Amino acid sequence: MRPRLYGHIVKTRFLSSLEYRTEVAFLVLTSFVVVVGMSFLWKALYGDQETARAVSLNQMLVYLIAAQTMNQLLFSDLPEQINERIYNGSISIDLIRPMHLWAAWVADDLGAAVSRLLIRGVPLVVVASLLIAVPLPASGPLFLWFLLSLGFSYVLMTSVSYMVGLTSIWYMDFGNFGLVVRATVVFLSGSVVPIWFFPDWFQRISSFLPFIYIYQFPLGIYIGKYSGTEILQGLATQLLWIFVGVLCAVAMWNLVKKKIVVQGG
Amino acid sequence: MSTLGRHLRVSLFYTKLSLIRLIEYPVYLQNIFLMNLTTAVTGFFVIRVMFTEFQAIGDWDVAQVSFLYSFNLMTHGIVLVVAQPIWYMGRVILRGDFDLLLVRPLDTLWLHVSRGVNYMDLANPILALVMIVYSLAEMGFTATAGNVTGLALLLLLCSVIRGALYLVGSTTCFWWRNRESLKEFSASLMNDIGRYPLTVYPWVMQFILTFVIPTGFIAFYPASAVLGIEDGLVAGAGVFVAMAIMAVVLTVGSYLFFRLGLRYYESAGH
Repeated sequence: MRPRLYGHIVKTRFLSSLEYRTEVAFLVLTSFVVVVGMSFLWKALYGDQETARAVSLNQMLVYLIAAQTMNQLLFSDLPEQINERIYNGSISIDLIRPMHLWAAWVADDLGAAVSRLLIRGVPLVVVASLLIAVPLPASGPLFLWFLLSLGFSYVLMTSVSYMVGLTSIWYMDFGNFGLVVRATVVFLSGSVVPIWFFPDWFQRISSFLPFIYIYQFPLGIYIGKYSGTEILQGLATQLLWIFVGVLCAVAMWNLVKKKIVVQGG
Repeated sequence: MSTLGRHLRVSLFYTKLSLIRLIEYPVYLQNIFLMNLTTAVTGFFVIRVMFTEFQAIGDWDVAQVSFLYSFNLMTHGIVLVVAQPIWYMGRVILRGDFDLLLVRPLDTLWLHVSRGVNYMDLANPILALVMIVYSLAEMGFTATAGNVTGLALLLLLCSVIRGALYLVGSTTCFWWRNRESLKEFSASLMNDIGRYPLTVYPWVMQFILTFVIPTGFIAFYPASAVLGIEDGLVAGAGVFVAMAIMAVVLTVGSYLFFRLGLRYYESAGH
C-alpha cells in the first residue's frame, strides 16, 4: 500500500473537479430544483394522509433530501472514465505505472465523490433545511449505523461501477451502458421512490437483489424505519453483497485483462 | 431558392451518413435502446406504482399523469432524434469543433444540427407513443382525424419550444465555456419537474415555469388542454395561442441568440 500516492490521486481529481466553476454552480442549482420540486410532489401525494406504509411525510422528505445528498457520493462516472481510458488507449500508460490499477481508479473516483459531496451535497442540505425540512437522523446511534451502512453502500456501488467499466474492454466503446446501469440502480434501489411503496411481489424480488442495499437500506436506518435486529441483518446482507461484488469484479478483471487492445495511446 | 436547396441537400446527405453510422456501431445502438427503454418504462411504472398507494396528485388521476409523462417524453424524444447536436453543443464549443463548420458556405447552426440526425434515440418517441395511446385509451379518448391531427400539431409545437430552450441553454457555453451549464439545468426543469402537474408546485414556481423559463408549455399546458383540464396560470384557448406565439418567438430568439454567441466563439483546438 502507498497511501501518499493514492492520496495524491484523490487530491488531484478533487481539484480538477472544481475547474469549471460555472458548471458546478449550475449543477448545484439543478440539484436544488430537483429536490425542491420532488418535495412538493411528495406533499401533493400525501395530501391529508398522515402516513403511507408506516412512513410519515416528514420522514419521506428527510429520505428525499438524504437520498439526493447520497447521490453525490454514489453516482460516480467510474464506468465512463474506464471506458475513456480503454477507448483512447491511455490504459496502456496506466498499466505501466508503478501502482495498483484498481486502487488508482478507485482513488480517482473517490476524489470526484468527495468534491461532489462537499460542493453539491453540503449546499443542498443547507438549502433543503431552509426550504423543505431539516434532514436530521432519527437518533444519534442510528446516524452512526447509517454512516457504517453508507460506507458499505459506497463499496458495493463502486464494485458495480467497476464491473460496468470493465465491459468496455469487450465493447471498446460501450456508449450509454453506464447510464443504463445507473437508471436501473435508481429504479431498483429505491433512491427516488422507496421500494416499500411498490407491490408486494416487487418487494419480494428486490429483497433478493443487491440494489436496495445501496440506497433504501441506509436511508431506512437514517429515518428510523428499521428495528435493531433488522439493521444487523441488513448490514450482514450488505457485507455478503460486497463480498460477492468484489469477488465478481476481481474475477472479471482476471478474465478481461488479457483481452485489452491498445489503439493509439 | 438554390441556397435553400443546397442546405436541404447537405441535410439529406448527413441523414444518409447517420444511417450508415448506425449500422457501424451495433453495441452502441443496443445500449442506447436499452437506456431509453429502461428510463421510459421505469418512469411510467413508478407513476403507476405511486397511484397504488396514493389516490391523486393534486386533481390529476393516474391516467392523466401517465399521459402528461408520456407527452413530455415524446417531445424530449423528438428533439433528441432531429436536433441532438444542440444537446451536446457545449462539448463541441469546448473542443473548438466549430472551426470546421465556420469555413463552410452554409448556415453554421443548420450544418451543426444536420450532421447529427439521431436514429438511435428513436426508441424514446416510439415508447412514448405507445404510452400516450395507452393512457388515452384508459381515459376513453375517442380517436378522430381531427383529434389526432390536433395532438400531432401540439406535439410539434412543444418540440419546437423545447428545442429552442435547449439551444438557448447550450448557447450560453460560448460565454461560460463549459460543457453542460444552463442546458442541464433547463433539461432538469423540463424532464424532472415538467413530467408532473405544474399545480403541485407553489405559485412562484408556477409563475417562473410559465413566464420566465416557459417549460410549462412543453407538456403541462398542452396536456391540460388535450384533457380538457382548466388548471394552472394559462387555460383554455389561450394555451394554443400562447404556444403558437411562443414557438415563433423562441425559435427566432434562440437563433439570434446563437448568432450572437457565435461571435464570442474562440477556437480551442485545430
